[in-house]
Amino acid sequence: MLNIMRRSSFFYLTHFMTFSLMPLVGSQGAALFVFLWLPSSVLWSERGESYAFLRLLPIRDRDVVRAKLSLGLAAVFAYWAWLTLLALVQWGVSAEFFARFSLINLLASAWPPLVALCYLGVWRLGARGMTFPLLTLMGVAAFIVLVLERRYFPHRWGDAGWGLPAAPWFLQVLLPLVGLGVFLLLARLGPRVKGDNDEHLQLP
Amino acid sequence: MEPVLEAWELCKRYEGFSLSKVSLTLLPGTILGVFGPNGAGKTTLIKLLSGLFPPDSGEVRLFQLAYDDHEREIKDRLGYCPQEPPFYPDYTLVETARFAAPFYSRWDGALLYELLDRFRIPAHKKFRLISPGQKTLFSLALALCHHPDLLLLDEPAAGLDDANRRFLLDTLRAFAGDGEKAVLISSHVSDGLDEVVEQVLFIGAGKTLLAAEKEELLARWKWVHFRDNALDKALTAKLTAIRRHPFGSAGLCQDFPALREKLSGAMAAGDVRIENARLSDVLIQLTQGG
Repeated sequence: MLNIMRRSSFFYLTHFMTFSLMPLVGSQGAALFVFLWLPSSVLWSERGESYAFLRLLPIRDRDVVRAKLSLGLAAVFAYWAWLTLLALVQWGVSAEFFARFSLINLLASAWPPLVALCYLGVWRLGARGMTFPLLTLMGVAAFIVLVLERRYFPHRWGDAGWGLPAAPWFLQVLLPLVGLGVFLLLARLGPRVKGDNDEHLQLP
Repeated sequence: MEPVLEAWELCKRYEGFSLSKVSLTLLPGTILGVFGPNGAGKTTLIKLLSGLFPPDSGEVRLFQLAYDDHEREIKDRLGYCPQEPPFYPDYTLVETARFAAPFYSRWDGALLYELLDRFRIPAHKKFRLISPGQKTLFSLALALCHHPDLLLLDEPAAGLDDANRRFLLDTLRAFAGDGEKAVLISSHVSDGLDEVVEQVLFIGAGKTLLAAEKEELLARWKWVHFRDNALDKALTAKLTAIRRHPFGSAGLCQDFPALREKLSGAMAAGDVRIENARLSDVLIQLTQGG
């Protein structure tokens, strides 16, 4: 499992390293860009994967699925932790921090299902088959992200939580939990989707 | 003696091709050759047997176990050498071996390096940079170095030079020779593999054409060379693939024991000469006729 994760982690690491600079150079809406960075990490790491080779080895599909999704979830956690840490360093424990923390939590709730869906797409259509749909989706997402960032972030950072800081505390806990729950449900589908489809077995 | 491999009525359908109801049994100590023309379904069959993907219907058991419940145990004892080795192109051979090693319970790194030395493959070269023949040999080395009990080899002789082909045949003989392990090897040409296989399965257009013991098969299939007018029409009609040659004709006989007595007179007179058929002759006759 560790071998699989180590091999797949290259693009996750390079993507994370470039992403981690964004907030440092002043991009306030970095959390939105995770919606681009995560699918991109999945796509590029999967394009170099050889599932046909993994099928030769004494490892079950469900273990491969677990390794891949664990890596995706670890990446989600890394993005969340990095953004939270930066907000804490910048604002200390203050109302501004909680506004940002709420926003990060809100957005991060969607990241685990996003990663899981990307992997299911790769196992269903193959990495090559997923390239065009995913790039198109990322293009649309990039447009939305840029518009949202211009609209909400340059001068109105205090409102960036879209009122979420005022939301009941349990909602702020509930949203990430719902995201994780959906991720786990999708993860349960993984071995079946992978086992029933051959497209991802094409050579890299 | 319990079979190493059993398959019952395997079916797999793709667009434009279907493998239908192929069954086989492989006992320990046996080398089975699966032969057929291009597109016959050999690779599909081996992929089903190796668990690369599941059949649409039918059942596969290796070592009395089914993939559904015992995938890891089966693959730990299986050496599979695919037609197109699917290793990471950007990994060196050493990195590929290091990647695979932890998954196997009987990994033997020393044996791997011994084989790479024997094949003269540079272990620190990236997989994408070695020749097609070397890729096949590396795949074979990986398949052997975890001491499997069953080898599934998909056209391993293609692209090998004579020395390595000889080594391959010797290796297969030694592998199955201990009486506990078995080999299934596929090829679209039987030349060169005739000498090691003990059982043959001919497939064409996704269907089983013939399954037999090689010795029994070759005892029945013979070339009959005969001078002009040496055989009557009834006897000639029992021969197929008749060809003219400068001193008469030759035809393929599919049941020589049944004709032996009728031919004995002409054989004694020197008008008829019998020659062993090759597996490729049988395959061509079964798939193309005439």
